[in-house]
Amino acid sequence: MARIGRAAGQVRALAEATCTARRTYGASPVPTLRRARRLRTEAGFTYDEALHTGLLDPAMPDARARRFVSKDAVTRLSDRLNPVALITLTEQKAIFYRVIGETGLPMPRLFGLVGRGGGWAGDGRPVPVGPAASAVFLASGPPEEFVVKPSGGYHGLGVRVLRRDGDELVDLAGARTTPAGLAEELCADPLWDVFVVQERLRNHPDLDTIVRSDTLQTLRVTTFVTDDCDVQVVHAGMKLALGGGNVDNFREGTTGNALVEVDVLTGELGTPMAPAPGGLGLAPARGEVAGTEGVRLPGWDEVLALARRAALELLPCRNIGWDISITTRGPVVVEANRSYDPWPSAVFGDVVREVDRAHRSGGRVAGRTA
Amino acid sequence: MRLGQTLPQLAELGRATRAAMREYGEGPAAVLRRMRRLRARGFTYTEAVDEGLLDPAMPDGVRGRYLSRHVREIRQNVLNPLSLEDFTEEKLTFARYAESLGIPVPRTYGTAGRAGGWNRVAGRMVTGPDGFARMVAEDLADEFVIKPVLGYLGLGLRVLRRDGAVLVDQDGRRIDAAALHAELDADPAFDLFLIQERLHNHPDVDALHASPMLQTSRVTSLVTAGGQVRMLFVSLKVGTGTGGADNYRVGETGNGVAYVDLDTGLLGPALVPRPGRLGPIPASELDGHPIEGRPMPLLAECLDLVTRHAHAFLPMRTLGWDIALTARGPVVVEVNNFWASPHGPLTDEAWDLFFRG
Repeated sequence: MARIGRAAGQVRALAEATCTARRTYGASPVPTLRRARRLRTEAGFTYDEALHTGLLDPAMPDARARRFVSKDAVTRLSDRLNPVALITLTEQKAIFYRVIGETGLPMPRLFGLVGRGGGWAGDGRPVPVGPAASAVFLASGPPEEFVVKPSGGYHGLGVRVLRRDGDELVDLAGARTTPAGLAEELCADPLWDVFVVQERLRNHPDLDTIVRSDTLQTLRVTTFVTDDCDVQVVHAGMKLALGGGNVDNFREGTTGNALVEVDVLTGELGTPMAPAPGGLGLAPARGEVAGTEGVRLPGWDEVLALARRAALELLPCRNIGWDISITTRGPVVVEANRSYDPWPSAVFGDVVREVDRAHRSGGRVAGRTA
Repeated sequence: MRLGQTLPQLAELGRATRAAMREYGEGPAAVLRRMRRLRARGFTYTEAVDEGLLDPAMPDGVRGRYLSRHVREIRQNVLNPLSLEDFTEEKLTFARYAESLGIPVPRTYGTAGRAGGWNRVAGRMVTGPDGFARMVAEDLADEFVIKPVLGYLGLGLRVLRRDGAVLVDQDGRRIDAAALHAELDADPAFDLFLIQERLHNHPDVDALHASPMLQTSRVTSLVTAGGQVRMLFVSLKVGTGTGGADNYRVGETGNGVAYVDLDTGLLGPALVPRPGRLGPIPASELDGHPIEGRPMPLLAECLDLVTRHAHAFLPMRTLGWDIALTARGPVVVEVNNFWASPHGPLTDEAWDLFFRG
């Protein structure tokens, strides 16, 4: 019975993806169905994922669509290269910042932890359970500007970049609250029980030549550690905060932000990509970022050095997607992702397959790596 | 469904009642009345029997200071955010963090298992049986310990020493490195194992009770709402059983536990499960070797170590620290969120701290 229910759900998802592709691209249903099925069975794409990555666009040649990689494929690879038993080291930010912060890697300063499970003030005192104690901490603990994000969060959900304005707190989207109101919200959050309170980082001023934004813009730098513990930087991309919110996450194009791949050898930007008209897949971005192709990121060698150093701190995890920001105080590790989302590009698909091959053969990732 | 839960409970109640009636010579009404009161405090019938709480000779004041697992875990979940459980329970992360803070811990040699082999000593990944055998032969000490990074209660622990070309475990089983690699890779319960230094008991611990197994102290701490570090209780696990670990595991291992009087620093009797359970008896009744009244080795050093470092694990507020008492001083082997106190009623002060601190 359950199997019939699942099959019916799959058929419905396939039909919906095909209909949407037909509406958006004017695509014939039969070739679309065929491609969607092939991407599902051969590469692990869900129908919705294939649709939103733009892979059902008939203008994209079959050979190119096949180079993309699905979330399922990346997760399978990640689970082989990064022990699942160690998942909370990277996925629980409260643990990550405390543990890896002790290694001396540049990271955002941690002011404390709050939430319905109680917390910790950076001065060593516990923040007792309950919103009242959290409100006292939020009112007096962190400085004028700070960031609050769920310890177990992902995709930038629940992140607030706050500054004090009198007795109130204002986030980057202009939403206002008070320490007591924020504490109530955090302690009543149905999804997350612990929130990290940390330093607000600022973009390096040279990044203004690419995008002028108050939102922190991060690079996603993917590393692979070889059998000999040599670290290869195998892919890099940058999230461009065009959307103006609290975060630079892309979330399938729903945030208004854009993406650009970075040449790992030179730190030069590729073609900035934004959600394509119709919202499916990517197209070259227009506007202020359109002319930034070829711009070299500031301090790229330092970014590479930081990624290489950080990768060795997380062994035996071997394949991490690092969120690194180039800030006013140099490159800083913002997060580490052991189950990262695939970068929506054919180049990234090639990289993932090459990492898989290198791991199986005990060799190195071939191609353009640093 | 409800009947499916009720019938086993009734059977458990029947077994427990019969056992208590036999042991203590009481009628069913008195046993059932006591049982009902304990059940209301969260004890399972079996737990009440195992702890000896149905003994009519136990004063109500003492019985009232025992913690049922149910009530204890509810409170521990309030004091220790569940989402951060792995901060201490995942042993590699704990060791990494403790090392960087300067907390003495066993040296980490690397990892093994199907999820990932890593030779930290030589700085290379370990793949396949040959790579593992090479690591064992070239980079590990003559004695070492392998345990699951997400293990508990000493399950899956192997204490190994080299004997020529083979390894010998705590049970005397001989195995070569390739076969050990295959066993770890095929382990159905755990996919990643920590390989670390083997520690040995301080001579003063061996003088109390000589045992080939590491006999650790359990220091249970609580950081109060005001930020003070207080101790709920301290005990010494006594290796009277078999196997590689000193864990008590609800009496299944045969190991004992002795509580320390924190005012005097002296050990109480080493308690072991009574044959057939129904509470503990002093181990000296079995082996004629009392430790009661003797000073707990390295107590001051253990308390100092925990006091200095308990804040480092906030917001986890109450932790059970397993500390090896070695010739080089106290060494923290593990830290536990869900500590227990088998056969140990809390003192009034500890009770108050745990529920109101």
